[in-house]
Amino acid sequence: MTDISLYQTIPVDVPESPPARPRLLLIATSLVAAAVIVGYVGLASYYAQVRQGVLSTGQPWLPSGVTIPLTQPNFMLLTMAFSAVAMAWALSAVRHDDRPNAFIAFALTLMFGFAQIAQTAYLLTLMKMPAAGNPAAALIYTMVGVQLATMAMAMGYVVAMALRTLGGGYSARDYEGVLSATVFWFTNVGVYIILWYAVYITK
Amino acid sequence: MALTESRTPTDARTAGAPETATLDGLLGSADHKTLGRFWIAGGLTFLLGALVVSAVAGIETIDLGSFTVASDADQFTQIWSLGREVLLFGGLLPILVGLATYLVPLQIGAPAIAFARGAAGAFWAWLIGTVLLVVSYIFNGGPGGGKADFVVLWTVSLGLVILALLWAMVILATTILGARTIGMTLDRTPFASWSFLVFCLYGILTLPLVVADLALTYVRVRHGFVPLDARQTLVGVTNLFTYAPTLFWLAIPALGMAADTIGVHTARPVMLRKPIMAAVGALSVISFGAVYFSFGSVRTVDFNNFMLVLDIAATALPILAVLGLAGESIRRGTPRLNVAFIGSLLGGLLFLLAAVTALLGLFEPVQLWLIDNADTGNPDKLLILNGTTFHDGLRGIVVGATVLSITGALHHWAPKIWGRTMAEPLGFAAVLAAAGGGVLWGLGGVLAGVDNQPAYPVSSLAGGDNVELYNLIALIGIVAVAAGALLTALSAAQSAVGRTSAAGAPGWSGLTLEWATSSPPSPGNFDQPPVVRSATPLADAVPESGSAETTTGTDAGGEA
Repeated sequence: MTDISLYQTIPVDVPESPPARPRLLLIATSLVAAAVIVGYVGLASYYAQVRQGVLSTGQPWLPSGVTIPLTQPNFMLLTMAFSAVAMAWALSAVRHDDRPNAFIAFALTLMFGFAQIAQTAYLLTLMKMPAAGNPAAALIYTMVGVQLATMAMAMGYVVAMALRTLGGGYSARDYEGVLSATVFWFTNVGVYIILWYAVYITK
Repeated sequence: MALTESRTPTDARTAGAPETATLDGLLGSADHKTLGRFWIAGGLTFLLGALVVSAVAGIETIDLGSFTVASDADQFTQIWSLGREVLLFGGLLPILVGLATYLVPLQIGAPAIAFARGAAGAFWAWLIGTVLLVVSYIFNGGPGGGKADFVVLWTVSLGLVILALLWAMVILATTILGARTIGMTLDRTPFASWSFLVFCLYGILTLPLVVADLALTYVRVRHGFVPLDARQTLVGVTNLFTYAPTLFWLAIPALGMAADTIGVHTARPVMLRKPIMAAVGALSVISFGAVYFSFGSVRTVDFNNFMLVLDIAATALPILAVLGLAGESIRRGTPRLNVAFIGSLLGGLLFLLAAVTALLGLFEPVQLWLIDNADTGNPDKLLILNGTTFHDGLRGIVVGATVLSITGALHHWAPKIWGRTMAEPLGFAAVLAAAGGGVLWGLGGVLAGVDNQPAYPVSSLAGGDNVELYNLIALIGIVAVAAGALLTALSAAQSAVGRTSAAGAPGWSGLTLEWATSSPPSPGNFDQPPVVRSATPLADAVPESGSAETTTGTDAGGEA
């Protein structure tokens, strides 16, 4: 008869494992991301409504002399896509305890963020949109401003999580903060995609 | 614990040191109990102020021929708008957030709220924002305001208030979703916490629309897109939350708290948990009202009307369901006729009255569907309620109902909040005043709307023959609701300073986890993380061999 005790490798008195860590940061970030998307979609749909109203009267939507080139918005779209890849790379690196790659990826993500902000500023100078006197101007500046604010929040979040990772707070054992920052970064990319289509493409 | 710290809140070491009574200890506190009291106190203060301002606006409508208090229509718009905004964002919502901040960690068995310092930041941001909001109105800002800088301040301060409330709701929802104790699944969550979760999720998915509108308004006002004579139109920014059906958002936590309260005070726990939870959750369908009132949807008239019918009908049914199911406890149990029970029950009934009244608002779109197009030009054929003060009357009923629910909830949980009961005579007077006031306020506004008084703001006050009488009725109602709120605030203040009886024997005790703590609870709430096996954990405590074994405290080896 087989001696079953030979196969009992787990001691009977091993303590229970602690309960799973509640992912509070991830839950909160997801809720904030949902709120940001809802708000921006609302703003974009109002833009579409007002634009439709103006166009239905036969008037042009953009003021005379204002153009929205396609090169810069499309380039920013690519930049945001690269930034999403970089952020996913950072998350993967942290999950595998690869600190050098993690910091390279964090730095790349932030660099892409700065690039998008700079490109937006350049685009606004190219557009020559007047600050006052036109409903299109108010809406476009509001949408661009909110997107830049979202970008700033996302970059701040990434900096905070990068510093915590540098300090040893996050690793393969616990990477919740980096995962949360990734979720918010993707939300930020989503906001830009909405802006890109609603304003820069549709015009 | 840092804002981004993800350490489990069940770690007793992070639950917070014992609270000190010094000023800096209070001001720097991140204890959810202290914050909850701050929210409730601040909310009650601003609620009283808002009701007084609303009464002042009401005085103006008694004599439509001239302006009595305000100097012109713009100033009347400012007074009316100030009352409306502070009523909701400075009074009712903060009190509900305060109740949630205090109760939720206790009910779900957590030692602290998630992101405690963030929760503290939310409160102080709300307080600063509300003060700035009032200041902006005082210096001729707000909708109809004459000074552009203070109109901008209005925009920014209202945005700050809403963002602060939004952040508080994110924290509360995160706490309920992620910090429940061992064994507490969502279907075992107490009704109040479940309703707070639905309430917060609804706010998280709807308030950003107002924030986005405020961002746009800021740009428009800052860069001169809104001429001085068009600033009355800015009042539309908060229409989303101050008109039905979105206004019934306040019914969600009210019904959840009522379900908890009624179960305790009838000595018969509400049995059909899942239907009640489903009904409370179904109320969130009124979020579709955000589609109707949002500033951004491209829609047809038929779509508008369809959404309005769906929303308003969908409001009444869940309220009826919750009250009906709670009524079973009343029928089978022994109701204890105290303020907690009566206030909660009357609050629910007043919400039902509001929902039924809102159905009147369906007459116009339904008639438009039924009557041939040729007749729509005939005013005698239509009961026009949209665009009149009908919705202001509806708001009056909802405000009265919310004040009643808050009164009932404060009386019920006073032993936990202040360690003392609240004075019953004051409470009964408050309930009477708030109930009668809500009905009168609603009656006056609805009748004035039926009599074609146009909705505010208006360039001049106008209406049918009896509108002034109806406005007087509404004014009496506002004053009565204000009296009810004042009596509740006084009673709460008495309890807070120790002028009422200690909660050693409050006469009631529920079966949910907050009743397993001391009154008031100690720092950290529980000696050890409680383990629950049902929705009524205190009923699961089974004495064994003469020693008390509970699932909540001293015996950490309780089954999961």
